[in-house]
Amino acid sequence: MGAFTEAGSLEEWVELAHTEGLTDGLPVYPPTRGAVDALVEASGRDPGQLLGAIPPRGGAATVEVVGANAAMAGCKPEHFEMVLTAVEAMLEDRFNLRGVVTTTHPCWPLVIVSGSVVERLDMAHTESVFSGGGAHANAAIGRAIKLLLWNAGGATPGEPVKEVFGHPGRYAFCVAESPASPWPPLHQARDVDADSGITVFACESPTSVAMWGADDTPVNRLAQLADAMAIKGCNNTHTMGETLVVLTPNEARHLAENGYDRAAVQQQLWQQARRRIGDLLSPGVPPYAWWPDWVDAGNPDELVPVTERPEDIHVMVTGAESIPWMAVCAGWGNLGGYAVSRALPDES
Amino acid sequence: MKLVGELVDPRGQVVVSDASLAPRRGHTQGPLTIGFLVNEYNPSSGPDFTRYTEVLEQEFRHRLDVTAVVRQHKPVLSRPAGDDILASFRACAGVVNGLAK
Repeated sequence: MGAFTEAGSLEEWVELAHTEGLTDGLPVYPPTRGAVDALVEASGRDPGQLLGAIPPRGGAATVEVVGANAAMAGCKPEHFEMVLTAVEAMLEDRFNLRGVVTTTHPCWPLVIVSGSVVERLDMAHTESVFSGGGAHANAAIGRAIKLLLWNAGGATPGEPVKEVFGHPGRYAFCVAESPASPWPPLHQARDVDADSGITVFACESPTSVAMWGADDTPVNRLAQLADAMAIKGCNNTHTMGETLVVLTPNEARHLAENGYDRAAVQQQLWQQARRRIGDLLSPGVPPYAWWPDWVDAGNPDELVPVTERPEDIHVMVTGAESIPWMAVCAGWGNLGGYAVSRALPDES
Repeated sequence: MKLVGELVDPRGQVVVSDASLAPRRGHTQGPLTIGFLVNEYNPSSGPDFTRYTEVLEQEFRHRLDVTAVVRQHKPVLSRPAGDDILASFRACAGVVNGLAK
């Protein structure tokens, strides 16, 4: 890394990191050979193993390069396999990583960790979970993804990133699912047969859905959530794609006690989260080509769901136990960023 | 005192694509087929690139010996055009791709 080896002090490194554009403004740890080697060794992988090219710049994400960014983020060796698995998931075609990082839309890859690894690594899954919850693992894993996309991917604002407003999760966007969920972990619900797993999904920041005015009836409570899922300015409302809803553990238990499993929640929301075509399109605006054939696009009273299928509504359980609450993390619509789930090794 | 030793570059070598540019056309003599690939959400809510390509088509027909036009609309603007769309442009002397802004 040439000139960077001349950094004689931590302060000099911090300055170099900023002047060389190796960080987005926040300070980062130096990617020392020792720190990177410790991460790579813990992974058991070859440092030269290529996971793929990170778009749009096309920097090679070898295990060592991912390790350098993870070291800058402050990852511990036990965090590193989750970072590697998340990178592999993001590089699947259906995720459309190039589009996700450069789009005008405020979406960013959310890393969702689920299964027993959450407790084993002491990940935060209660208060403030979407801002890291004060846990080392949540912050470091999310930050490592950010730095990799920044450094190897060259995802810097203006050129090539065209995001109009930005997304606070671009600093770090990693959450853990609650072990107190009444349902199987998210990755298992998505057919990944493993004790622990990772799901990546490009989405907006969470929109709060409080239960004002709702009684205990599940349909009424889910209607509150469905209303927030189908707001007029949302990409899902117009283009479908995928969306993520978040329930606190006590809200999920309430639904489970009333006979709802995850699939029933998805089905109910799919029925409720709809908008009238006549309310979506101004007079004279033609219907969208991406709506499936079963949408009666010429009928202004037709109710269009926010996703094409119930299973495209991802349901995760996390957050504090204090008050039953819900949230929506809208997706990018039918443009990409679709959820990808991967298994984590048993010992990670 | 050297507090920071050898550092590992976090940027990675740029992976060079093995794809090459299409062969350049040495002339614009007809008869020519021109392609247009529209890449925007909704012409009625934006500047309307489809309309722009119609204007371009008139210009091309006026200035060159254009005998055929292939016009395609990308179904998902954020994704590369699919093989079927690319195949439809195979006979084109040139393809104009973009979105109005």
